[in-house]
Amino acid sequence: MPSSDDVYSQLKDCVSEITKIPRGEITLNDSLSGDYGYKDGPSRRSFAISLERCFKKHGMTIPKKLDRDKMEEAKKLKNVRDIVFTAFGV
Amino acid sequence: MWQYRAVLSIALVLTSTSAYSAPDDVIAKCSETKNGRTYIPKERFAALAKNLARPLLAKFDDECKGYLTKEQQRRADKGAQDDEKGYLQDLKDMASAGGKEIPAEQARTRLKLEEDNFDLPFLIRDAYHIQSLAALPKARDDAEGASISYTRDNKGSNDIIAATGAIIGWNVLSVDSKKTAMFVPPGFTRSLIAPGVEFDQQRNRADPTKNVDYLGFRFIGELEREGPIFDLNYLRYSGYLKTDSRSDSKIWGGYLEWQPYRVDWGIGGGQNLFGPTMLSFTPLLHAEYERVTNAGNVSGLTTGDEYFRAGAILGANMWFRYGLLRNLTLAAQYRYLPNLTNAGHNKDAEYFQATVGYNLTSSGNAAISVKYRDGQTPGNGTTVRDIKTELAVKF
Repeated sequence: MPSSDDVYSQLKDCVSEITKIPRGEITLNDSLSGDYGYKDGPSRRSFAISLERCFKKHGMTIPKKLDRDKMEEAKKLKNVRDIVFTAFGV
Repeated sequence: MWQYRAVLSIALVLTSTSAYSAPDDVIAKCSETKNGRTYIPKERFAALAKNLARPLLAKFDDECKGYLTKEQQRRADKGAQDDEKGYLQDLKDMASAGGKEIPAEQARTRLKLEEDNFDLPFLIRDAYHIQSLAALPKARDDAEGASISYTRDNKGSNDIIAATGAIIGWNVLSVDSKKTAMFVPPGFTRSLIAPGVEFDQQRNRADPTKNVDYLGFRFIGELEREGPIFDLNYLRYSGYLKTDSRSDSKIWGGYLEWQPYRVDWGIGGGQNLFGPTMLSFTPLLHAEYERVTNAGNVSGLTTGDEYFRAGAILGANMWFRYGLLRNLTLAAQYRYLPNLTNAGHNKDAEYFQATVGYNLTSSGNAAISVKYRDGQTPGNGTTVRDIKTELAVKF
């Protein structure tokens, strides 16, 4: 099982791949709405699906589907990280 | 010949509270349900008060006891440790991108603080058109509120008073396929329905023939489905009656709409172009039918008119994540819906709107904007070609 550091590191890689924002500019307090433009629930649900696809592509398949309802509530990347951690059980 | 109008208007945006927001969660976990009645028992008052006052308890006190068990304390500590490690990695990444040290201002900009919005359980917007019923945008995300405006035309010695907007009772019926399949067809994940009232009233003192008197009664239904090409597909269906305050005119219609989301293609979410610049697209396919059973005093319409339009709507947004342009937003929308029936009537609908907005506060609760509109407006189809300046105050 990957460590929480590995998962967070991969999460940042995937966020960078999805948003095209350089990894060095991605932080825990990034606003999903203000920074990434995920202003509504569907965009955050789509973000969850894109993350699942990206993790799988990089050989770190998320063991279970990310919680779509919790993703919809997420305001910051920190919240997304917690959801991904929960899915990995770390 | 197009007209230039300088309009100062006060726009009001009232938005909804998410059904899953933290205060609701705290109340839900501190509640009991008996005989179909949900209530907070007296013995939980103290625990609820502690949960409301302490974010750590609200997050980890799952059973509303007012204190953390050893296991919950362990989870809370782990959460803090995860944050600490995450911040450390962020700082290292920031430094590796920019050198061995991080300018304090850069750290302050990148490590943002929480911003709160004041939300209400109903919406007042510029028109009955929202991207999705699944979760509506927050106040700071949408500068398109209902507006009441007064225009003084010194050259033409004229006064114009206008009220434009919509009141939407969203989430009247919101069904999750995990809870019940009754209103959710197989293969779809969620279904929602919302009724609403749309209005556009304008009184022109010098020329009453230019008055606008419009009322619309509408409903929207929405189905959500995860798909193989696009992450999410939304199918919307809507019906409406467009009339006026005296119910002289009667125009019936409805539409079908498809909207895809795939944020890693920039559809429904942003992609970084360069530096702080972000760009997102909102494409839709749209088909609409309308029949005029009584044209009343609506100009350009005849009783018996009908049309079927189908075409595309494309929206684009640009914003800046940091730097001097952080408070600036740019948006554009173009729609072209050719009429596919009723030869001899030019009922094609074409509309372009470009908006430049500037948030006066970091929370976005006050903003100024300049909007250019050209074509037939969505909703009542009024032909416009104008520029509007607007001061919007949003709560």
